[in-house]
Amino acid sequence: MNALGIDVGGTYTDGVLVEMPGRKVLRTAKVPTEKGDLEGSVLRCFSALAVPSPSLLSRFCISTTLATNAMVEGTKKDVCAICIGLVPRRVAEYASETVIVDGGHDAMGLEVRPLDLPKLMDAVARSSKASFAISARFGARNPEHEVAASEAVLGARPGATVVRGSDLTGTLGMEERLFLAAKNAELVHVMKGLIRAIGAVTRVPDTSIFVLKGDGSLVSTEEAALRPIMTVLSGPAASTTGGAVLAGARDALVVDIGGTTTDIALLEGGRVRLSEEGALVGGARLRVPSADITTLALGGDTEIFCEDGRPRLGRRAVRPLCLAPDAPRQMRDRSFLFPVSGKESGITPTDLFRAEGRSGFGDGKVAVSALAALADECGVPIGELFAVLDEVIRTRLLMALTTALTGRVASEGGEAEALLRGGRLFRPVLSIDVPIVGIGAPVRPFLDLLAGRVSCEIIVPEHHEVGNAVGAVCTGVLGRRELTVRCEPRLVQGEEVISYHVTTGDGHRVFADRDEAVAFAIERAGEELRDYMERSRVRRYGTRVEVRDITYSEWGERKVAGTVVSVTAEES
Amino acid sequence: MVRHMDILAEEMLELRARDPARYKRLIQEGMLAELGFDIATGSSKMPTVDEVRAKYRPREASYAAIAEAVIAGNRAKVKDLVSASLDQGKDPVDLVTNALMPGIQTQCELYDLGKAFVPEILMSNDAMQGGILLCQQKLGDIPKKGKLATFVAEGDLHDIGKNIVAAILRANGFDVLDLGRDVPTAKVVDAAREHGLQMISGSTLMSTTKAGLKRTAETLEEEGVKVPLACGGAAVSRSFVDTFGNSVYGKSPLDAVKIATEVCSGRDWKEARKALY
Repeated sequence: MNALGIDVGGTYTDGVLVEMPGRKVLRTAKVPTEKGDLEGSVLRCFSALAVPSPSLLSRFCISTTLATNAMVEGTKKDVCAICIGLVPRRVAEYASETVIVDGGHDAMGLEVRPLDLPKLMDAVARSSKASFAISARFGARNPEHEVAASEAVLGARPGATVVRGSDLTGTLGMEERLFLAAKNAELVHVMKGLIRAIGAVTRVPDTSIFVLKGDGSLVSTEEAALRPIMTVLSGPAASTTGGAVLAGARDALVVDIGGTTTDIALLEGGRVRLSEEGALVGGARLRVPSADITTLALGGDTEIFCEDGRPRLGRRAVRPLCLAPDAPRQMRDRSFLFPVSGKESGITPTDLFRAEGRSGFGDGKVAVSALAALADECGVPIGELFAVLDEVIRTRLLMALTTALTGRVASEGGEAEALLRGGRLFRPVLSIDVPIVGIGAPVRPFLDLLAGRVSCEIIVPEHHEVGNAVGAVCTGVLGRRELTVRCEPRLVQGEEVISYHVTTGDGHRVFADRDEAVAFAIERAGEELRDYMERSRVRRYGTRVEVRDITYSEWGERKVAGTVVSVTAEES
Repeated sequence: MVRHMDILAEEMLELRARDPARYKRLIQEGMLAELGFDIATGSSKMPTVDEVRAKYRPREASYAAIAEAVIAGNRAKVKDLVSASLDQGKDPVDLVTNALMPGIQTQCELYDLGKAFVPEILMSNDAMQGGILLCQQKLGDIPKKGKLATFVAEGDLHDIGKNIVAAILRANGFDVLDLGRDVPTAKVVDAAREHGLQMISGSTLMSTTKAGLKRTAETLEEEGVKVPLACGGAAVSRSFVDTFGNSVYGKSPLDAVKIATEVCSGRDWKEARKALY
């Protein structure tokens, strides 16, 4: 059986045909991504691969920037926001209509005020919108008002798209959940359209199509259409998994070097390390799981220029001169040597590596004469210029590696940088316990610079240029449900009485007995997970249940604040 | 370790010949231990009252006198000295930060060490406020470091700890709104919205009411009021505060000042925890 993976990136769309379950790469393809035409990019990549019999594919996995782009570029905001029990503050930024009704719960999950259904129905009847985002005060503790409101809306408007905030995330922050729900509601139609178009043209059956999530696992098309927001930032997760699969490593530091940026992520035990805070997209913090990546402005297209008679590595991306079709015209005057605004082509690491003879990519003559002009302008021999530029690129890479490993950002030009750069008499060597795996088209000459400066193995696997697509196809469905049994003390006639509260996907239960509450949580988490795996069309999977107490000490005694029940199901 | 007494005595005599100063100290410590003094905690680590006073004492004599008057809690004397200094043309801001504040800081640190008591802090604060008032009259308004509130959790009437925290926070240049005791969550959240607070300090003395702190911290988070809750009090432990978000634990009133300083310099509760724990 063959499986197909396609990753739509910012610059290129990569595709790979893999033989399963051996994960042998059969064919690869790379086509430029057309901005604003995701479907077209996927389809062109698909046809470039010339898949033998599309209907026999075991899996067709897509990692797309659809959700990310929509988040960054902003969308139509064609959503009606329903707020229960709380007035949002910046709702105009993401919704075009707002309905505020009475209701909501308190921190324990107990009802504060009953839901004002008549007012809600009245507002929905007058609304012209087809998408609704619902969030209630403490909906993450007790979603019953959200559920009741969504049922009421669907009853009145059967075709509408209704998204509940607490269905997407269990974190506190009513407005954050509303924002997430509104964005999700907008994306539902876009995602549905993409899946339909891909299915229709490729003739791959809908049941074999999967979409990659930001945490690196796959979801079925139904699930993707239901919660498209979860596919935000799936690219980094795909590249990390892909790099590790190609290198055959379960623990690795994966360095993905593209045209404009380098992304570094850590893989632990075969899984991408996730960011604690959730994804940061277009300046907004989204409470959805996504890979913890360190991004730096360094790639094949990063600008190299002359400033105050010295060679510099900039941050913006320009087209490499050795790849420019009109290089001689661009190099007619010496403006290509300076950081002029609006310049199209310039000297880049791609030109540098070509001129040094370390890569065979691009026009060698153009690269050599461009670098010679830079050396002339800076007044140094060409050999020295090469050494200086190599040094600058190496230092920026080393800085990023330490940032990824320590989680601390060292300031550029600071003491940490001086230490990492080394000097005439000393060169620090980073001793790293996991191998570095490089992927992305221009990665090899970059990582060659690290030789001797890191103690670990540097692996640039075969097919690394389509690592993202490999990552999309070589991963599985992963389901995870976490329910918390919260101990809530109350004072009844001077006596402390503890009750045990469990919030489930659609409601809230209170128990007097802790064991009963934990048993209920395990059962419900298992049920919700079975639903999820069934919707993801996975028949064989292993389930793991973990029960963990959250405790604290009081007057020297251990007390329980809550019990976390987490059930994980992984495709086998 | 069992050794022959003769050998031990021999070693002692040898030590006396080689290092008389150390020998003398050891003998003294031994005698003190015999008399029931706790040597380990008394001498080595904890600074003495004099050390603390010396640490904060201003160099200039007139400033040192003001600081001493603040420590003594003598409001009349503080006012006399401050007005004399102002007449001499001293900068009012400099007076507050380098003469009045060191006084209260000494007192706060002594309190942390168990060498000063609540009434002394309150008296010192009162004395200092007298001086600050004079400086303010000269200057207009002295810029505050941040706007905070203090309260005691719902159901709890013990507010002495909260009063100390409020006094010490005020003494350290924060604008403090005291919400009182037995304060329901809704009142705290409303106050945070209305006054644009930067941090709230909540405390409770009873284990039965500590859940109120948790609910308040979570309600602030849920309602999108980005104000962290500094939690403290006898019934509150760090491990308890760590079971919920949007909160930072502080053991002593000076911890409240540290948390407030972190938060008012733009850190969120996670960063404040990282910086202080």
